Amino acid sequence: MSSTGAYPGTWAHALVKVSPYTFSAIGIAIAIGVSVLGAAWGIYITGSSLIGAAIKAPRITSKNLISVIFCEAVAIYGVIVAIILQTKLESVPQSQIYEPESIRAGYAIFASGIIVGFANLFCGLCVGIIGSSCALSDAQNSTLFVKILVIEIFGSALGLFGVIVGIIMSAQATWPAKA
Amino acid sequence: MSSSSVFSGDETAPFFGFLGAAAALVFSCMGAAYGTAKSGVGVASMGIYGLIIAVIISTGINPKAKSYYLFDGYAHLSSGLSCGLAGLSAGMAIGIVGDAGLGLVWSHCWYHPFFSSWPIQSRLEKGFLQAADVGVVGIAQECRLSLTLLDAKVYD
Repeated sequence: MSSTGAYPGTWAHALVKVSPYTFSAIGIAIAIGVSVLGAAWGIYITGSSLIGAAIKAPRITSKNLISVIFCEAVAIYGVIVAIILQTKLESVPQSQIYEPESIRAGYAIFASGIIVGFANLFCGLCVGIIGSSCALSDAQNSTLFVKILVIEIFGSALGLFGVIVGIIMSAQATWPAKA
Repeated sequence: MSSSSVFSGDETAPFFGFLGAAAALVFSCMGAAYGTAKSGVGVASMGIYGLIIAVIISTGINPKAKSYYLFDGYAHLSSGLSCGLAGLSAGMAIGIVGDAGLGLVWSHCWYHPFFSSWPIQSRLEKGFLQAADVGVVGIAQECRLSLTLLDAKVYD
């Protein structure tokens, strides 16, 4: 319901007053911050299992570093997309900040950052858990390493999905031409 | 700033639309990650459903080509949420079923001398996973159907 009083009362009214630069900055921060959170979480899960299993079976350490590298790749995806997103920011004159087109550009960067950040968070978690199982089963039976590595490759594809959609959506971030 | 007497709020519609695309991808990736980690089977196909729906939604938000009302934004939000949450539950279901199926098969194989062969165990496991896959495909079809129905309303 629209209102013409001094205190307009819908969510749309509140959303429109938030600057698109706020949304863009939060989106970029989430893209890199939450991706790194996922990578770190995955590395700590797989690293602690790897070191513990290497006590009895030291031969597994060099091969199982691949799991740590898969988790790290997730953080690299976050860095790449954050850099791409911050090149999409343009400075727009004061009169055009709240135009529909620039508001939409702010939302596009925000959503792109959320997509990349959270997809990488869950990808990092998934690869970390599988990497930990990989290390533990490799310590028991070295023929299992390659089979579990295949599952890890499926898991790391999830981060790539997030990057793809994030980059497609960042192409929507077109600011209005300076009038 | 639109402070005319009728404020339609259509400028905030892309917020909900983009958030719908984000929800589609993020939740289905959550389900794929859970299923992969829990059951040890690659269920990245669940994430692909979310990817497709997210790309369809985000390329459909183009206010220059076609005016994007608040209704369209809500429609995209709900279709993204429905696909994403369906993918989340499907991925979790696959993970739990795969994990439980393997556990049950192992316990039977261990105590029953007749079923002590690998082929039967792997066939049972494939049966469980095929059932889960059918459930996944069914859920995915439903959410794709819901997306096309919502899109039909949008383009009316």
